[in-house]
Amino acid sequence: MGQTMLESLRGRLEDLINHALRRGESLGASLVEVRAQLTVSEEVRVDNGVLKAFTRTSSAGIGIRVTYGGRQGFSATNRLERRSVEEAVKAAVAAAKAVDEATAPAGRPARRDVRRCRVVKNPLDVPAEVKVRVALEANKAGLSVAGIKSSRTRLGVVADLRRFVASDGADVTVEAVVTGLGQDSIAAEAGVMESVGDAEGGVGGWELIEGVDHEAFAREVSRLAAEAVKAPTPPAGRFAVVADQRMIGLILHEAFGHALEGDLVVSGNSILRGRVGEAIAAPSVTVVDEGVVEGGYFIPYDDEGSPKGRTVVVDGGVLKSYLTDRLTASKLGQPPTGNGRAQDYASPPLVRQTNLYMVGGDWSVEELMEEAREGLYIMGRGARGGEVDPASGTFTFSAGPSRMIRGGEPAELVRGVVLSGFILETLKNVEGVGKDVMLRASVFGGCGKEGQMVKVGAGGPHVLIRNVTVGGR
Amino acid sequence: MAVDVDIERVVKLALKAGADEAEAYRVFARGSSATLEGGVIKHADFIELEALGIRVAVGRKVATVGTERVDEAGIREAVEAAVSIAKALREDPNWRGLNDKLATRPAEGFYDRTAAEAGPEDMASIVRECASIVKGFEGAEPVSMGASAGEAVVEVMNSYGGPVSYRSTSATYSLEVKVRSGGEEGVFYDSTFSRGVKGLKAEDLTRDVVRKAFEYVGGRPVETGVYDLILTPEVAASFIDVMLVSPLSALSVQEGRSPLAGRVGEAVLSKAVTLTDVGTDPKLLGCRPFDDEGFPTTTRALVKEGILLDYVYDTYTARREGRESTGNAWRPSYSRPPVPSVNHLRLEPGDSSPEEMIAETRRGLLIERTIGEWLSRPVSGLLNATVTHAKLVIDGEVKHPVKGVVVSGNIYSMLGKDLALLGRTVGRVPRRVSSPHLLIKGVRVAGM
Repeated sequence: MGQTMLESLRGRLEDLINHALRRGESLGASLVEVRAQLTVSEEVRVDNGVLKAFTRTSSAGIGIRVTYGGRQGFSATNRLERRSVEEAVKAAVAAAKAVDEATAPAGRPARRDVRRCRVVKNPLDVPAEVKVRVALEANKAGLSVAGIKSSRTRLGVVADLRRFVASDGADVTVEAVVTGLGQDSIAAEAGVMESVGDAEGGVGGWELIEGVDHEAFAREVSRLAAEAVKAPTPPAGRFAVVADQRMIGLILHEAFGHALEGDLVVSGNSILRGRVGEAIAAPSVTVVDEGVVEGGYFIPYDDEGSPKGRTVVVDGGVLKSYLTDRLTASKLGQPPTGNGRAQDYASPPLVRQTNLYMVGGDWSVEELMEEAREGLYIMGRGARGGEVDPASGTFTFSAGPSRMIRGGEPAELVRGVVLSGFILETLKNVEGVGKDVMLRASVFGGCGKEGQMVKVGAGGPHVLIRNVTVGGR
Repeated sequence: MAVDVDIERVVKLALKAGADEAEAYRVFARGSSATLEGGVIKHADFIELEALGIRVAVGRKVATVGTERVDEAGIREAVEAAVSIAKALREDPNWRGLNDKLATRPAEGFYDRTAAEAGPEDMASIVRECASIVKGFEGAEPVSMGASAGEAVVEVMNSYGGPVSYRSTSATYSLEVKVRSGGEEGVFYDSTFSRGVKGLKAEDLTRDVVRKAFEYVGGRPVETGVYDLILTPEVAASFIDVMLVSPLSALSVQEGRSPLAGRVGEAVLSKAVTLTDVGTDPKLLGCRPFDDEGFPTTTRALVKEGILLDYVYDTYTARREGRESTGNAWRPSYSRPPVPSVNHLRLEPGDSSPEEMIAETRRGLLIERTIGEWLSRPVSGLLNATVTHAKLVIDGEVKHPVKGVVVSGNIYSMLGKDLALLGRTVGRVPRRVSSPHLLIKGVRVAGM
């Protein structure tokens, strides 16, 4: 976090938080929750050898949620002065009066804690010209590969400081920094174009950029694009699929993670409603949502001050728990799992995933390929994400350039791979779970829900799944 | 409405700090919303935010800084950061200066008081009313509903002119409904946009969605094969949005990312296709009196009868080619420099009806909702979308509902040689693209 900004605001925020707590209580709120947030982000964009944009964004603001007459109302302001904070408290009370829901939220410990992710070298202290140099060098390396028509490079930093203070005594500060380098390369051949994008980095500081050979990384992305443009699209139909670690993370997040979100369960918008205790996956499948885990995003507490520990959601194929915030926990009769997360101070917390991953099994990658015999090895480098309609249970996701599996071996490359399935079928069709668990989180992108984006981590080992629908020629 | 930031002063501060050119972009927004969960209003809020974007050039070195700290200290810090970053950067050889033609036309029709003045209780009333309509149908339950309304002020000023500003309002309503019938479930969802609260017609939309949810009970995949596709306006608009909006941007063309590069004057789509970039109609999402650099918007054809006429430009991409902006600058956020994109892209109608399209179809899918088309890559032209709501059409008759199949094709074929019919009415959908119904022949579908 930029030190000057922090110092200049620290005293003022302290005063405004206390002011909001007092005003809320004097207006009759039984609980006042104040979220103060400071973020500084930077992005460098280089396009075909030219620096296109250097952007810095600072934001600071306060979100206020009151519980008034048993009902919750929310408001937010970025005018950091007492008068505006008072207006926001009044607006939150007025909003609470428009609400019908009067369920008491599930309890959580009123912790006082400060948690910072490990940062060796603060990326905001690295001079602009150094960041530009790294991005330009990577970009040129990406452009140097034969057949590459367009090379786009991004270098991104987000420093996010969140303080949660409530009138019940909770006072939790979480500071997370993410840093990363992204490369998008487009290859052209015989009138056909194909693109591949990838990113390196994660939770941490400039040391993550220094730990990557940025030119080799960009060249590798470009080489994959140059190879993919010559590849065919896959045949359409149903296939046995071996998913790599990135792809299983994406599949779990879309195929399963969203349907676990307690608000969707309560509203009837999840096909997993009423299925706790039921076998919804193969016995080899265990799935965990965990706030602080190697490779994932840094979420020791959620935006309601609840600790986010380790939640086992599927154990040996059996559904054990949904993901909840305080209100949905109360309605579902389970303890809060620390999944009430907000995009920023101006957004109310929603039930969101943190770092969702599949626990490792005992298969090697070679054994999974051998077992599949014929099918598709779907690879996450260059994948663009996925989408789910949790009510109908249909999900879809894209893979990066992938390989057909022939005779138990990875064979020729295919491009434009899109897969689709049904939530209640896909995890039942898991036939083998690998040992090689890996998680990832990125400074670029995130997960969208109801107009809010949050950063998540995802991953797992290599996994073999039968009968996955693949779009194609 | 409170207007605190004086953007003329921001521009002056930046010039004084050493910028050769400076631009300030201010946005102020306030709005209310209410959402329903588990059958009751669960959440309501009122939010008011102000943000400032500052773009400065020192020679041909350009930096952009955004801040939500709009007090004196925050603004000074942002201005100084912008100038000092710019000085430390390398030159952009393509930089030819900021927009020097700021709009003078007054903005009319973008503002409706009913949206500007609505509070959380008004939004809650709409949702409550519509929830009770859903509950009036046996077997139906509202799984999610939300209404929002608010106003925004956008103001632009730079070292060549301004300030120019306009005030706009918007109201939105969305819902998803689940129904049970004969032991099976069906779901459907929709949303709508208007400048005012009345224009939402929320009750009508609610009844339509319930009816659709019943129609989609018992959806299942069909066999892998080749099918004709009838796309409803929502689906057609989404496909066009994902696949053609980026290739029509002059930035994509100049940077080698557009399959339409170098093809002006050529037939790139079917003769039946005319695509218009509409900038000026207040009823359409994406329209505004001037773009995010203050340049006046316009309405013109980009593709006429299949022939590519032009791309869309902001000042930066236009001056690279020695021409004038087309009023298509969009800031991805207040803190980012603008990029060119369509304002509202409309596929002009043909002369068929959906009924005629169904009657024409021997083996096809009538598709109403898809997911995941945004995962497709516009550079390759390859479109993939997963169908969540379609109906099988056999020999001119609508059969059972279909879900969980993937349609794949090349957009330039789908809107080229394979495009058979266009509907006679352009559907109003809450996005920056609109289209009539389309009948497309011979598309690969992956199913069972």
